[in-house]
Amino acid sequence: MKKSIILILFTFLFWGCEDFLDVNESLDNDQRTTPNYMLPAVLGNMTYAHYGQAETTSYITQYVTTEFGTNAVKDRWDYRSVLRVGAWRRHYFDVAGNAKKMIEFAEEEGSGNYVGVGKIMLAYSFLTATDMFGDMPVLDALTGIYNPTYDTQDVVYAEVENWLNEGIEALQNTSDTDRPMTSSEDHIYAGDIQKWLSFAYAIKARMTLHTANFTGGYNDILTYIDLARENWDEPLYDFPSDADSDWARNLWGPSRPSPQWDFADIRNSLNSSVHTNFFMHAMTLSGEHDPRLYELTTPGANGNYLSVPASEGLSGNDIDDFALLYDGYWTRDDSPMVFITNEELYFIEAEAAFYSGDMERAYQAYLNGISSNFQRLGIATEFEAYRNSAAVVQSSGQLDIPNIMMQKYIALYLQPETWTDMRRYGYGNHAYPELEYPENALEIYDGKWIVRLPYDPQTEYIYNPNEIARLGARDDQWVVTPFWWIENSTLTNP
Amino acid sequence: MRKILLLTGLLVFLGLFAQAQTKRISGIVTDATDGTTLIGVTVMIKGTTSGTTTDIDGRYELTARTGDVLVFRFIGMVPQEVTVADQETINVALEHDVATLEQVVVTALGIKREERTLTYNVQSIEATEIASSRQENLVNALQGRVSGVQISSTSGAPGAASEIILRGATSVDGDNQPLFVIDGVPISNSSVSGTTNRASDINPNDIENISILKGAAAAALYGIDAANGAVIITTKRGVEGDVRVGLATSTTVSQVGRLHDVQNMFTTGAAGLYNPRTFSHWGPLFRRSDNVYDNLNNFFQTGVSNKFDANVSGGSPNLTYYLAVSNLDDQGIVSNTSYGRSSAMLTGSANITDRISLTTTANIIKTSNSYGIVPASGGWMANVYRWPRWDNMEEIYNPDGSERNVWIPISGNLADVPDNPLWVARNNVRKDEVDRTLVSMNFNYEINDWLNLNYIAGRDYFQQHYKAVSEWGSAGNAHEGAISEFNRESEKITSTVILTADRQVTEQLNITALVGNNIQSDFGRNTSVSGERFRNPTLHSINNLQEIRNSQSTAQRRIIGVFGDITLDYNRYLVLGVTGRNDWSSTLPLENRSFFYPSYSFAFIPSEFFDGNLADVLSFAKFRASYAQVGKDAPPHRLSQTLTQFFGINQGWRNDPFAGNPLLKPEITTEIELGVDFRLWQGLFNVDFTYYERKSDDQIIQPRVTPVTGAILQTVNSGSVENKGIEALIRSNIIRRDEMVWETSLNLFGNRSKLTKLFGDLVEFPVTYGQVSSQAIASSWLGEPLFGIVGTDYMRTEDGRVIVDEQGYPIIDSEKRYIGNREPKLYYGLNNNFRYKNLEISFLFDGAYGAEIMNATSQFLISSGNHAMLEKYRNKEFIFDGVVEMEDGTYIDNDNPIILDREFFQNVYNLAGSNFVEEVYWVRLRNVNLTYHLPSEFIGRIGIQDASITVNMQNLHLWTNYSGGDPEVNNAGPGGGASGAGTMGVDYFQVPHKRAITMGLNLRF
Repeated sequence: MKKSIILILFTFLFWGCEDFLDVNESLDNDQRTTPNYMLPAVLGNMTYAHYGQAETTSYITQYVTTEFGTNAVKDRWDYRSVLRVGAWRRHYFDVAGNAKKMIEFAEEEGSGNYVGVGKIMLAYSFLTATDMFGDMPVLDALTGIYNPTYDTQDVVYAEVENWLNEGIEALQNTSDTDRPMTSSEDHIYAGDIQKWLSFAYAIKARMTLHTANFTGGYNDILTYIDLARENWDEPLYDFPSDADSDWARNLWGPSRPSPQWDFADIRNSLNSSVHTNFFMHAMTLSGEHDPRLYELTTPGANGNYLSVPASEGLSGNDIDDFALLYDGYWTRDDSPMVFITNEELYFIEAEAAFYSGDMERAYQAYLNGISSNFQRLGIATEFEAYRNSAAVVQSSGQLDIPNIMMQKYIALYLQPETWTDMRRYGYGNHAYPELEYPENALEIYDGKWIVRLPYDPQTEYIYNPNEIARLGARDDQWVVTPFWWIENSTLTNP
Repeated sequence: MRKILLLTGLLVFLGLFAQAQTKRISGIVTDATDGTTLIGVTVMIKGTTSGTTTDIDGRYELTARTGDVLVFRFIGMVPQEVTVADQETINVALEHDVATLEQVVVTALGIKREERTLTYNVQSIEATEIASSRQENLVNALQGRVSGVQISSTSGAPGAASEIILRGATSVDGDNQPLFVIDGVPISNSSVSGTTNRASDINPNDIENISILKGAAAAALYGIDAANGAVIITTKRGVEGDVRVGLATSTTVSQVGRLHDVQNMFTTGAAGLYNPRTFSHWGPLFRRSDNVYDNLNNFFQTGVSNKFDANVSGGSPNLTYYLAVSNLDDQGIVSNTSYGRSSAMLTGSANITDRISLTTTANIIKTSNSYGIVPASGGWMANVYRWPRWDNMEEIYNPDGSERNVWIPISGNLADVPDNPLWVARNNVRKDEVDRTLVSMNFNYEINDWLNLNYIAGRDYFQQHYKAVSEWGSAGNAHEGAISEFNRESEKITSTVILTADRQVTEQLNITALVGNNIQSDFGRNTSVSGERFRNPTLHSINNLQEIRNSQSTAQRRIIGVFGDITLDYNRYLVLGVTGRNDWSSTLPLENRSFFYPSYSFAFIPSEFFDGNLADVLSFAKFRASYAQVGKDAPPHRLSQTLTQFFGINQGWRNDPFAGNPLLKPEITTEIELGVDFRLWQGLFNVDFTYYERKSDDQIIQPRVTPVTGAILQTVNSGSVENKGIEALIRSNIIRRDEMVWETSLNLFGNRSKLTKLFGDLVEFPVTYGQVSSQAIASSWLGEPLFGIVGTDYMRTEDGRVIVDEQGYPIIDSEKRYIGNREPKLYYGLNNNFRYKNLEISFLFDGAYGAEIMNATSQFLISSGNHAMLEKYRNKEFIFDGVVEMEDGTYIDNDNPIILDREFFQNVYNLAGSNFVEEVYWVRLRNVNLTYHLPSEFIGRIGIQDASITVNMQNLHLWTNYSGGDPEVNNAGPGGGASGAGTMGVDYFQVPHKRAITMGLNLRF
């Protein structure tokens, strides 16, 4: 008996050696992987980020407005009771964090192609995020510092430019020993380095356009456009028509995908939204509708195309008299998501050429922008008729900013970049002739337009309070307070 | 496992047929003061586990050898020992114990100690009290009966999880619940995905006694997991003698308790216009011809619950056994909610030699919990409250059996139609099934008369299967059906060796010393699958899903502990204790893995010096003090950031939201406890009073961090919380006479918490699941109580008056700040037991005072136009009691009337979170129990020893100033992931508590 007791005791005491305690590594998830397994998340998450920005801004830019006119954010720009602004984490955690890790893994194994693509995506994500939020951490970002300093926007822009340059350099120096990149990793370009380079130059063109009015650089933009055009193929992320989960559906689609609980704040509400007067007037010429309207939407019950002023709800109209917003070119479950469209590139060119005095180039780019939009929507044959209508300027001499900006507005239907354009021009009627201030915007804004999103109330205002206080971001007026490139814009007044 | 069962079975079998070379002894036990017979006196043969108890007539009968010593024990009486000689009848009269201090309590590691020598507060609850609570979740059975305890149940649904916290919460975001230990073996009380807290798997009727070790001193010996105290459960045992059979059956009928009031005047719509496609009740007045359905009350049904218990026990001098089986079927007050539990427990004890004994227990439990409406709130009642009043919710189906749509949406897309909650309750059923086996072995070797070796090993293993089905036709994403399913395995193995020395060193000095080793291994594995879109509309299998995702998580944690304890008892008036423990935990980095923590305690009993009149009045007095530390480790796998699955196109990996922290170190809780116990007038009044202060530093918390860091959550050592509080327990035997007894006890508990330090620049730590409203959330604010409410208020002048704008509307200050404390200032419970002849009556009142409730239900009812107060105020002219600021900065009284319309309520009133914070009190008649024992002359003839009939009423009445339903709310509960300050006091559309009446019959043969 005694022997057996001693035996039992011994067993347990021996059990108590150090190995016994070495069970703290996760059995289900590793800390490392190869970069090819990180790229799908970087690209996929960027589409969710892109969509999130689009969903928020399309109500501000008056493509659409709500059916009820009572939505705090969409109709009143009232962020006082908003819990989450998901765009913040979608950029930092979902895209940038993964891109950074992918770059690390790729640098360690010497795969320049993944380094280059990673840096371009990092740059693109930071650029689109700062255009929503203004000042934000970039130097302290992704370092683990839990109270990061917010950098001014010019610093963010400089970093974005650095990443683009480094990305271009990495892609120009790829080698055969790089890890293969195919459509199984790169859902956009299937690993085509030249196309990635084109995208990088397109990003440069876009970002330079934001600041060229006060820093100069219209000629640089035209150079970037030329470089981008060399091997241009749209950075287009397509979604399968037989998606097997919400993760593989375009979030604008009629199934209103919400792949995970934290997408709730950006779940589309096109089912309860209608077109605004501003948009519909742009799509109407002497009673005739722009043929693109029928490709962007589907007919409502009564086949009518009514519209209402932004933020005021249906104002007593019958919902059946409005177009349905789903199942248009951009609003199907399998619609593509395009980070910079072909049309945008043309209109960037048009604007840059316009300001650098090359009216012929500006006019040609303007026409190309319109025609490529008709092409995209599958109605190329109708372009000629439209081109000859009064909706289109007939010669380079007549071309003016509102012509460019309104055609860009139409071509960039539901794209977040439109918000940037409008803010560059101070929402002015000199660029957007019929744009009206929404009736139901909060009175405390005193007629000022919303120009930025608040930082995520659920994180920044709680976890980085000192920086928020330094910036003054708690102020009710924060969302109407201009940031760097808005403040400095010389285009805001006619 | 199988071997243990086999062994136990064999022991029992042998025991039944063992022939004892002994004689029968019988007798009657009476009360020495009045000569009445005593029921339930334990009669044991000393040094063995065999014995019996007296029946209703005070009679006992057992077999013993000549020379055996019989020990007669009864609570409140001085034990008596009688040596068996030639006689066959031994009648005994027991004396009252003036101090009732010979009572033994179970403390850490199952060590039984005389209450007299305790240097810290332990409160214990006996089987009868547990049974009379008629609560199937043993956590609820403690409610109102123990001081220093906060219990909040998530809802009145069957199988709802309950949260228990001892002496206030110490952790900002970790689990604040105590460790549960059964027969020396720690078990899991975890709760996942809103399922019940797993301690509720234990059949309360199997429990003999529960000891609550509230403080760090009492729990130091259990180590890490007892940092928040421990609930020590002892199960029932067999005693030697004839085969004894007990049967109990009961039926409970329940109905819904207190609900939030709703308005009955206005129909759906907005701006006074009718809209048949909305839940918003801001429409015009109902017309006289309209049907206005009481959907809220019609939603509930009468719940019926049936319980059956049977036990067989007995044994020979060397072998005893106890076998209990039970079955529970609880059908709730919401359609299609149920909780079922079947259990079988077998305990066998064997005296292998004079000095070696072995007890093994196996408890096999199966539970099944179904619900369409999730018990742990999450706002599941919201659509019941807001359902259009012109629609009869009870008309659930179309003639073809499909869900009847409340309206046809403009889009024509039926996925946009909200689901009828009754349809959801009946069709979208979640089922949580658990198969659990608890086995333990307790081996004891008395090496000599002062040295004892004890070895306890146990395993708690369960397999949980959870499946939530959204039927084809559900609203939203699940329109074509959805399933979420997981399989979870949980295993906890513990092994404890203790060597105890108990020696009277000199005539004055008794020393008890022990050393021990404890090894614990926790393992959990969760495999989950979820997906949408059925191919065949009625097949509820993951094989039938067109979209599917799966994931797996495994958690492992191992701890090794070495501990020692020494208690010096000097002349019965001075007791000194020192303990020390060192733990090694697998969850901490190698260099911080080992940590030591001590405790010191002290008691002085001046009444040992009292005599004469003083001793008559103050029969007993004790002062005690202790200082203790407890360490705590980190959650497993938190040292480094890992990658997790990306579910989008091309899949692959992405960053896990948790950042790693390779520098974690243990968290330390320090507690000081001071107490005084005294007994007055020979035990007429017994008073225990405790004051404690506890502080927990370097807390291991998992705050959210800004995503700028590259992570969403981070595990860090930061934050301190202080708790101070008092506990008082006053017991009195008011009447103790012939055939009549009246005992009463009052317990009081007040705790004050303060968050003194936080991570980084944080001034606020929100409770993840407590953010149901954006104007007021459950959150801890630096420098304020832990159970805080943080939110907005009206703009106010320095002297607190509301500032109103020129139109007469109060101005909202959208800057969020601390606006309320959800922790009651005082908890109390008053328990009374009467016995007159064969009739026993007991009733329990409990309640709390000074708690601030965050009534988000009310806020959402205003938002949707359903709040009852809108009958009185909507569209009325109103002048706000406030001031208007003049241009020169002075204020004048407001005299501008405003109309209280929808815009006002939604855009002004609802934006001030402080409008939904209410300070409340409540008094609840929690329990009334009537038991009548049938006269023995009547039942004795048919061979029944005891037969009793019980009528028991639960939650009979609630007195409160709360404007909502039941103020005892906990929105998410432990299962919602509400750790730290949790969601106690957050009212958000939970299934209300129920009222119930139970009829029961107990038989003993």
